[in-house]
Amino acid sequence: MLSLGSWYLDSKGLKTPISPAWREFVSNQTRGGTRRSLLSRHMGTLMFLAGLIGMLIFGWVFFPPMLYTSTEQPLQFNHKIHMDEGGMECADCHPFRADGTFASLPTLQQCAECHEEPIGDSEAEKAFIDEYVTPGKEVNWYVYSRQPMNAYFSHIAHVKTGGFSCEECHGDHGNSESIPPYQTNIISGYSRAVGGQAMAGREVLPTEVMRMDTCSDCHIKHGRRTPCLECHK
Amino acid sequence: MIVTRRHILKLLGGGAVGTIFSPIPWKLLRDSSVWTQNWSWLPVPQRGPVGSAYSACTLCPSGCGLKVRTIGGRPVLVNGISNTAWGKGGLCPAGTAIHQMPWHPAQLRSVKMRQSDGRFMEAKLDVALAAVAAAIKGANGTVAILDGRPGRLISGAYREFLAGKGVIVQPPSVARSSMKVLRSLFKEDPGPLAIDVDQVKTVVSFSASVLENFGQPGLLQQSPKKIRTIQFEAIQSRTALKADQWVPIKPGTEREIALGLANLLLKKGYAANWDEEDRTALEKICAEWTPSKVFAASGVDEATLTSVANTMEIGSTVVVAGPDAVGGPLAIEAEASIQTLNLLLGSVGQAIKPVKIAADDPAFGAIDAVETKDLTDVPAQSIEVLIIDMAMAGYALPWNLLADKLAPKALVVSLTPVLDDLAQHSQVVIPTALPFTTVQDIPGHPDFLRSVRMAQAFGAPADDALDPVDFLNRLGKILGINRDVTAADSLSELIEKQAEVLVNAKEGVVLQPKKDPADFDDIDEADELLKRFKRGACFVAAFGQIDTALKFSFDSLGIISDETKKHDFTMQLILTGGVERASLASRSPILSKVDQESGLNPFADGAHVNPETIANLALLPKKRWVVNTPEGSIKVQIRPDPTVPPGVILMSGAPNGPKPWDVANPVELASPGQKSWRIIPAVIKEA
Repeated sequence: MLSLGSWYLDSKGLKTPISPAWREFVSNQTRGGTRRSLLSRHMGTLMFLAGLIGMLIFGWVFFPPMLYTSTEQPLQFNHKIHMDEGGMECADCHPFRADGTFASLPTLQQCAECHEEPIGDSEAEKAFIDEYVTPGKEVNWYVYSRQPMNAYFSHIAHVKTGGFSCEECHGDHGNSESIPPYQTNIISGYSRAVGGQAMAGREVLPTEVMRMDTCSDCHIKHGRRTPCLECHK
Repeated sequence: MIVTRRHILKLLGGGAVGTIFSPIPWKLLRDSSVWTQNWSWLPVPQRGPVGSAYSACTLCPSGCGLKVRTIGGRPVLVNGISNTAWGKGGLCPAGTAIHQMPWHPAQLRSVKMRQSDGRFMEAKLDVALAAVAAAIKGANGTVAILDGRPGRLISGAYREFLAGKGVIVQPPSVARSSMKVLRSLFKEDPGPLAIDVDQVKTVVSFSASVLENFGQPGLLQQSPKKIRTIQFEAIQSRTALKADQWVPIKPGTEREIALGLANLLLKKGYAANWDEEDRTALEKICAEWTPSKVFAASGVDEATLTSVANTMEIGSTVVVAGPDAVGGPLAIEAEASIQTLNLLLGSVGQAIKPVKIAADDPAFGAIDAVETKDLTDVPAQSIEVLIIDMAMAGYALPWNLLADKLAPKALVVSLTPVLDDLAQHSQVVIPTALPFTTVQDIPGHPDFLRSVRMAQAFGAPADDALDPVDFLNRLGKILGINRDVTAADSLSELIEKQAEVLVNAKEGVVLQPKKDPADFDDIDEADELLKRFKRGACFVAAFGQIDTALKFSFDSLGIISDETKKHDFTMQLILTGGVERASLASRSPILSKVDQESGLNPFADGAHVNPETIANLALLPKKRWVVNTPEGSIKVQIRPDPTVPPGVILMSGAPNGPKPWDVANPVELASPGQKSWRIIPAVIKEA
């Protein structure tokens, strides 16, 4: 007599209690060792792989969008048209002030110098004139790369002293025809551009992220050993 | 095909492995950790316009110039600036954190008076002032003010307040500063002296913290040229570690080494142009200190001594010693012997042109009308009323030394922003403003030429903080004491008066950050000078040439101020530490936190002892031990340290105060009979 836990089988056949798995097992035994189907034999492996692949797909494809809320910028903006047709440079709208500090985004006054009247007939241009220029209302842009309060970043040190071009950190942003939505991490509350575009922990290019790893990697690469208080004032 | 429980488990297992290789756990972990930094109840730095301002450090007599970065008007970072006669922009650990001082946890917020049961109770200012005035009126003995930072405008006010009625007492660290000892080596007073550091190529230091503390590190560390540093010191201090050459010595043998070096320099003909009588007098004192005798006394071998002597060249070598922030001054004979080397080397060939002190200069109010004494020269039990202004002195003063001078039932009043070591022994405590919360004048280090700069206020002082000038005014009103030269309603008013005096005197120069020095042809109004002070300017008295015909007096080289007493204390306790360990008042909150969390202060309640000594005395580290001295004892943990000489116990200053500083302060073990507490006789016993 075979016995296994509370299940048993006497020499005459089957006895209850019995489960489908047990029945199959016994059936295989009583058929004189007939080979199980290929699927049956690899069922365990397949189940493991299903779990593995399922979670990988979920983690890499479906999880990231769940982590961010997306907010459209108040206006669409075409960098490329300003650069190509307008013949402008980055510093025309994002200049350094007279005292050397970086002025970041242009004020409405700067925009209105050219856009007091509509240029072209696009919907975005019309909206800009009607909603902002005419009533004199500043555009409340969401700033992708605003650093946390505990980090201090100096543009002038990198651009004027370090000789970096804008593209080295901001990529091909100047040739973009539209601006992406502003994405906020629902847990940390930071912009995705600061916390990291890629999900794989460590980005390769500074254009992908503005985390401390990126800063320190670049500083090491350029032989600039920077003390903590340089950035964390 | 049947799906079994095992299959389900395998599916979950696969999912778990898949999760590990997906960003889910790692991204969640990282974002959650960022989220914890943004909890609403956590304090966040204030946002606001970024700016910068100039100020000066008030934590020690060096008064280093500071450039202060502000955000929304609040100071967030300080850097040293180099427009001083001695510093080149270096800052000590205490100075680096001075902008944190307005948040000092031990800040006093009210007047306190000691009750009959010994506890402090809050009191009204009028009540406290009446008590102080009554004590001064009824005093039969001495009324004294202990001025830890002479040269300030308030120092002038103290002098004028006490004129004819009391004495100004100076702590030994001030009274026996290097320059004062150097001046004592001249038969006639040569006027203020200075050492010409710009020509220095080699610094020979006797236990001075030249590479770690005020003034000098700025000079040596920030100097564009390489200055060779040779450090004679018993312990492996930070300066000893950084120096080009550290010469370990037996504790307390600085005098013997200095005289040995002087002997060798004399033989090299370094005093050839001296007066015959002076040279003979010095040769007579130094003759016995042959290299072999120096070796026997100090442990410095003949070859090393000779090699150091050969390095010392006239005109490019300077010898430094001076008081230690925690360990106090050297014995007078040791300091005098060391300064004699400077005379031989011609390091004091340049001096400050004696500045004519204007009669209306508030910093020198009634300079001759009141006696100034070294605390150690004050007769025992003679002081009946003592007003202490030591909070920002920048060095430790053992209470024992003061207590010895107090008459029974003497009244001790402390003017201090925090309840520091000395205030804890006082009967009346008057709160004053913390650094960075009030405008202050900053005179230069007494060891250097006269200078003045201004510390700015970046916030309001505590509500009950009293301007010391106001304190004297109110006390004077009760006692009927009027001041003339220093008459003012506040320290700010005195600063304006001083600016006027400096402009009228038209002597000296004004060093300005990133600009050429200005003289008083450019600055003809007090307001202009005040404006420049606010922009980081530093007034410096002019240099001049010393009269080389002056004669010397080497009597002090032969004094033995602290005779070795016969006792059972077979070990030597050495106290160490920088400005930040000298007093609770100079410890910013961040320094204490760093100490607490990083263990960077290995000394607080820890006694460092050579492993060989530990083995010989069977001092098992796991047991609790007591360091016994003639003045008392202190519980310690023994820590083996091979850099400590055999027979020596090395401890750090540990300012008393509220937790987490609340550990016994070994400075309290100094003996009132000793003029120096660099070495305290001690022994270790089981607790």
